[in-house]
Amino acid sequence: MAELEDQIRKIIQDELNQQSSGDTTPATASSNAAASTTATSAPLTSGQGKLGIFPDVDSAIAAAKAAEDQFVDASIETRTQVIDAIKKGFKPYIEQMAKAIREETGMGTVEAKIAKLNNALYNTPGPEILQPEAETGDGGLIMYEYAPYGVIGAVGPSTNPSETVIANAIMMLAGGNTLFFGAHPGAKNITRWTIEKLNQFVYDATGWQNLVVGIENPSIEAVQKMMAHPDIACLAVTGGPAVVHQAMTSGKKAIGAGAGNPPAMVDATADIKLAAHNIIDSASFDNDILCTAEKEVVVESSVKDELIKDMQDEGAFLVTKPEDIQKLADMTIQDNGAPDRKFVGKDANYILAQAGIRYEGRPKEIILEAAKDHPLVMTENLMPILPIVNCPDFDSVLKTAVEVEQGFHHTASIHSRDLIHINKAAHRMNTSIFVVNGPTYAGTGVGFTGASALTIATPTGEGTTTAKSFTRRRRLNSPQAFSLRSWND
Amino acid sequence: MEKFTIPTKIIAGSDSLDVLQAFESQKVMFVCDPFLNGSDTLKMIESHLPSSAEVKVFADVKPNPPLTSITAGVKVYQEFDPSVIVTLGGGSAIDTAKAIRNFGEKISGKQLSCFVAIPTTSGTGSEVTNTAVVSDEENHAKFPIMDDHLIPDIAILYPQLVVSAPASVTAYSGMDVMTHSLESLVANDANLFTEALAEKAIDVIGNHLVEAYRNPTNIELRHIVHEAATAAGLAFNTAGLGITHSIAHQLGAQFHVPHGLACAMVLPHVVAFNAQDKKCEAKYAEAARKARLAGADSSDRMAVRELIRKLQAMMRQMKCPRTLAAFGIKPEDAKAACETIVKAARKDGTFPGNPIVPTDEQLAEIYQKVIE
Repeated sequence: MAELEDQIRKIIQDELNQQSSGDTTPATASSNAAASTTATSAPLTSGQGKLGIFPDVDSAIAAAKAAEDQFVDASIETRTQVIDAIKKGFKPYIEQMAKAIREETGMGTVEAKIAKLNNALYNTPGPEILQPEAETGDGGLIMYEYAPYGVIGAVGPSTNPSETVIANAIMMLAGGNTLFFGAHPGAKNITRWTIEKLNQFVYDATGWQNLVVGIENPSIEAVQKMMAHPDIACLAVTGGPAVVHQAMTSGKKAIGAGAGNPPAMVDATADIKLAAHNIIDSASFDNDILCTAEKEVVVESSVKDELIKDMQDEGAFLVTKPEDIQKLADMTIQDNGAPDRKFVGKDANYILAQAGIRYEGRPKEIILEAAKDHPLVMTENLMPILPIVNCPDFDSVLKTAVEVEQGFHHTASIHSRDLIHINKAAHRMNTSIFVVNGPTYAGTGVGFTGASALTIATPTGEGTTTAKSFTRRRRLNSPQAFSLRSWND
Repeated sequence: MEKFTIPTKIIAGSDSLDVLQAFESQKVMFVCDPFLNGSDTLKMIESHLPSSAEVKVFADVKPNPPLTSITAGVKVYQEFDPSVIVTLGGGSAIDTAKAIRNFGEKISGKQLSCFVAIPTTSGTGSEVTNTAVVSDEENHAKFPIMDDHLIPDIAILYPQLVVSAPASVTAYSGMDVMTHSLESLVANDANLFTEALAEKAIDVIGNHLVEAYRNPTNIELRHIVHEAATAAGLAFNTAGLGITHSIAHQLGAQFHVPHGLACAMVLPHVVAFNAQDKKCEAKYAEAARKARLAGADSSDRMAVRELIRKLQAMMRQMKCPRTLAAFGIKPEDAKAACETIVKAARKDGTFPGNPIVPTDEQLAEIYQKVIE
């Protein structure tokens, strides 16, 4: 046996020698490899390093605080100039940014992002909305003004990275604040690029620096550190329940945007064609990643079939097989009840393909019928899957809508021609945004429908935030003067 | 010059064992996994041989076939003097049989008339490749014997044999197929034919492996995954492999990580590494899009990211440990082996196939990612 093994070892040795002599090192692609290693992943790079980006939280907040100490004294005209520089500067980059966001986050659609960026840039009111209030009379003058907090710590979501930086910057700078922006790790490159560009535009136009700052490597730890930093006066947080909770328990003023699960109610009196159009248009906008987007439809049964048919005409794809619906739910919702990030904001056709469901064309939205307690109804899943819940009459439509909204008080809509239904639903839903016979994205300002609303502060009560939400209301009393109406000598 | 040949006759399906009836009056040596020795499965297969055939069973097969077990097999070969070898089992059995054939023929100076491989796992592709990987336990080394003469003459894909495989074997061997596909897809000697096979295997494994894992008795699923394993074997037999295998072989030699699992651990990191090269990135992306593992309109970069996430998701769904630490190797032991592993990986027979030549630092970096 030992002899046999020796024989075998000898054969192996011979073969190995043969192999190594016949072996030519593969044409050294190493130079090639080295070149490709250095290929950076940043879709957009801006020349210099600094531009509002700092290596750590402390140095970033210190810079924003130093800027704030000056900015607080600056004229209102200065604030307007800063904001104008931002609006003008980003103009040529909108499409590029929309593509970069889509590329980095993999969520939503370029078209919707262009609309959202335009909304954030050109539909966010500035200092002009911060008009003082005054009372005069026998007690002299009583005046209220909206004054800055100081350095605001903002946390943005990956679903609206650049839009939130821009809208927050305009609102907070309008109020005389400066801000530290904590990027979502899933969108850190584009967030950083946006902060750097913003600093460049503002500096070129006004000479101001570090009004908006961020750090090189955003992380959850950095956000936690920022929240506890003594120089952060106020927190503005858009994100999951955990980070909002953390902000609200920080001991600081917090403006927090929480979760939602917006139902769209459709009653028997509705213009069904228009309702179908508005719901599909709005739900599929940016692949349903807006927290305001319709996440389920609650319909009165007499018009359900008509609504579904009209939705199909609008580009929705109806899934009917129970096992396909189950597959969609299993695939998109994780065991812990949270939506699988892999499918958040993805195209409907991708989700269908991943679920192995056959489809034709390019569906915009996946629709299906489900019971009101189905996981796809009860989960804020931020993807183009829109379950439809059937109810026998209007009262149960409203009751079900309240139930599936789960007390978030975020957003809801109704499609109806009945004023009593509309008023009753608006009252009962008690949401920050309520849309009547329109797409819920109207509530965010997209499509000339009021001021932009990127941060919808439901848990803390500010609702759709504006510059005013990021200011302190201050009161001045001057009993001796002024009143022009009377004078007691 | 590009070449592509399929020397192996591939017979698949529920009646595929009938080809064994051709071995009238032959001396048939079975090389099979130990648990098959005396089993009903083996009896059922033997029953397909004509009664005139003389049979001898060698079942001393060990995982990561060591030289000692091969030597024992060669001894049986010398004594029995077979004209046909039929090997039945997983990659280890088939590799053992190939090695026995290699040494047996060289020492006896006589050639077999036929070599038949009947895989019982859907993984190694060994039934159509020219390679047998042999371990030298004394020296903690693994080396491949590569010789086109070792390519089996007939491969029988009888899906019922895979049904009884434990779930972990389905998972690991399936991920091995995915590794063969993704490595051969971008390997230096890839060509249109190998890419076609690799892309199809990526599609089948990406879309059906987890399903097969969850429904082990579904013959249709087993059949298609079994064929995909062979397709991927054909692809890499010509195209070559890459550094996933170079590193995975060392994880097997050093820490006895099952081969498919070792590949699965390393694969996502190597895909990310090779995707630095735009050509590789495009190939991965195209395959991922074709298999609907990535969105049809996703950019190359997104598609590769989707592909990597898919690999990780599959591992999660099939409960594969994703790091050595999760497998039970102490991180300090794993770290201590880094230099040895990098050195051996560079010498591994699969290393030259990789489309980019990594530096030692890059190899170490990839290895470190699987530690914990």
